[in-house]
Amino acid sequence: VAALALTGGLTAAAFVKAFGIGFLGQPRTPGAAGAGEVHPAMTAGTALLAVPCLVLGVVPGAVVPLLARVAATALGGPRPDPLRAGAGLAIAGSADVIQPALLAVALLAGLVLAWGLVRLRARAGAERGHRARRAEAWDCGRELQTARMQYTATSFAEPLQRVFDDVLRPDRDLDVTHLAESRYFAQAITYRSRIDDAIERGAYRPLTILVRRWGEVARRAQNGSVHRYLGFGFAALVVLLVVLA
Amino acid sequence: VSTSLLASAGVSAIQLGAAVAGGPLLYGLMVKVRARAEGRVGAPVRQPLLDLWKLAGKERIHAWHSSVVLPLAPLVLIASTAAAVVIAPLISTGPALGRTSDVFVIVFLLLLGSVAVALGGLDAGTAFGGMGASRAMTIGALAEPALLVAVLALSIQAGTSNLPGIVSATLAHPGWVATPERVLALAALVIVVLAETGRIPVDNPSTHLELTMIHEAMILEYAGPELALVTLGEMMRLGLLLSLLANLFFPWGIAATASIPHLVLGLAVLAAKTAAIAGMIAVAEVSAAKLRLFRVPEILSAAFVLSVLAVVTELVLP
Repeated sequence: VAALALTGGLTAAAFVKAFGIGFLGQPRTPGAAGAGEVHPAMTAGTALLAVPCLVLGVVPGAVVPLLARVAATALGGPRPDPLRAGAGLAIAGSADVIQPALLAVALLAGLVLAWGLVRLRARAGAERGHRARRAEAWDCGRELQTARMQYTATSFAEPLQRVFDDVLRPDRDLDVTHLAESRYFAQAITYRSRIDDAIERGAYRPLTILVRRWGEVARRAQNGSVHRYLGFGFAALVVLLVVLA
Repeated sequence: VSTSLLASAGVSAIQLGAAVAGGPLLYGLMVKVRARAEGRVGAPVRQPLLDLWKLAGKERIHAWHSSVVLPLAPLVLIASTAAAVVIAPLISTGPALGRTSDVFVIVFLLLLGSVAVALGGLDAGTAFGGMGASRAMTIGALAEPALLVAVLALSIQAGTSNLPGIVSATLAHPGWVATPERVLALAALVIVVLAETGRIPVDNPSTHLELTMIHEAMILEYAGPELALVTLGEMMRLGLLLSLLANLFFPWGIAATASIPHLVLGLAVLAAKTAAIAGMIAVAEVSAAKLRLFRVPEILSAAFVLSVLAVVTELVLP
C-alpha cells in the first residue's frame, strides 16, 4: 500500500510537471510562441489512446470481467468472482462497491454547480463584462517577467530529487561567475544536474554492450566472400546430417 | 429502498452545506484563536465567509499568458472536494454512495484537487507559481504514503477499507480507541493533516513572505471569484480532513440512523469536535515555528514510520 501510495503521489507530481511545464506558462522560444494547432488527423491519434483511458477509469465494469475471464483461462485457476455491479468495481471479500461512473457524474455536477453559483453572484454583484480582463501577472509585484524566470522541469523536480538524493545520486554542477567589482553580485549562474539511472547502468548497459559485441562477431564472420558463405552452408549441412544420424 | 436512498442523499446534502459553511468558519476560528493567543482581538470568526462573498462579486482578471486551466482549476478543486465531502462519513455513517466511500477514493479525490491547483499555479508562467506548485506536489507525494498506511492500520483492525465501515466498527468496539496501533496511527494522521492543509510546521497559512510560501505562492495569480473558489476549496478540505480525523478516532455522536434528531445531534457533535481540534492546532501553531522546507520531508517520513509501526503493531499484537 505504501509503495502504491508513493507511486500515486509521485505520478501526480510527474504529470503536473509534464503537463504544467510543457503546456502552461509563457512560451520559452519564439517557435513555441508562434505554435499552431495541427491537423485534426494528428490529434485523432492521441485521442484514440485517450478514449480507452477514460473508459477504463469511468466504467471499469465494462472491461474488468473480460480481463478476469482471460486471466482465469490463461492461468487455469478458478474463475474470480464475477463483478456484481454493472459499472462498479467490487472489492474482493466485502460488500463494498466502488462506482467510478457515479463519482465522475458527481464531479461534473459539482463543476457545473460551482461555476453556475459564481456566475450568479457575479451577475448580482455588478453588470461587468462576462469576459475576464487580461492583466500583467502579479508575481508579488515583480515587473518585467520573462520566460527565463519560470520554473523549468529541472527546478520543478529539484525538491523531490533532493529528498531522494541517496537513491538517485545525482551529479550536480554549480558554477557562479561573479562580477569583477564585487563578489556580492553574481553575473551568471549555471546549474546542471544529471541523474545516472542505477537500473540503466546495472542492467541495460551491460545488455547493450553484450549485444553489440555479438554483432561485431557476426560482422567479422560476414566479409562478403562467396567462398566463405559456401563454406558456412557446407558446415551447416554436415552438422545437420550428424545430428540426424 | 427509495426512502433510504432519499435519506442518504439528504445526509450528503447536509454534509455538503456543513462543509461549505463550516470550512470557512473553522478557518476563521483558527485565526481567532491564534490572534487571542497572541494578545490581539482578531477578526470575527465569520470573517472568511464575508471575504469569500466579497471576492466572489469582484471582476475576473487573468494573467496575460494564462490559459483555460487558470479558471478551471478552482472548479475542479471545489468539485473533487465536494464529491469527497458528499460520500464521507461526517455526520452520519450512511451518506449517499456510502459503499463507494473507500479510503483510496477519498485520498485520490483530494489528490485530484491538489493536481488541479498545482497546474493552476503553473499556468500564469511566473516564478512563484512554479515554486509553489513544485513544493506542494513534493509534500503531497510524500504525505500520501503516510496517510494511506495510517488508514490501512485502521482498516486492518476494522476489516474493511470503507470509511463508514471503519467508523461503524469503531462505534461497536469502543475499546479500540486506546490500542497502541490507534495511537500511532493518530499521531501519523495528525502530521499528515497538518501537511495537507498547509499549517505550521509545514506551511504558514498567514505568511506572505515570498520564499516561505507554498500554497500561497501557487494561488498568487488568482483574483476575484476564482480566488474565492480556490480558497473555499481549501477551507472545505480543511473541514473534511479535520472531520475525518475526528470521526475515525472519536466517532461518538455520529448519527447511525437517518432520523432527524440523530442528524442534528451528529451535526452539533461534529461541529464541537472539529472546533476543538482546530483550536488545539491553532494553539500549537502559536507556540511553534515553521520548519525549514528541506526538513519537511523528515517530519513526513516520521509520520510514515509511525504509520508503518501502527500496521506492524496491528499485525503482531493479537
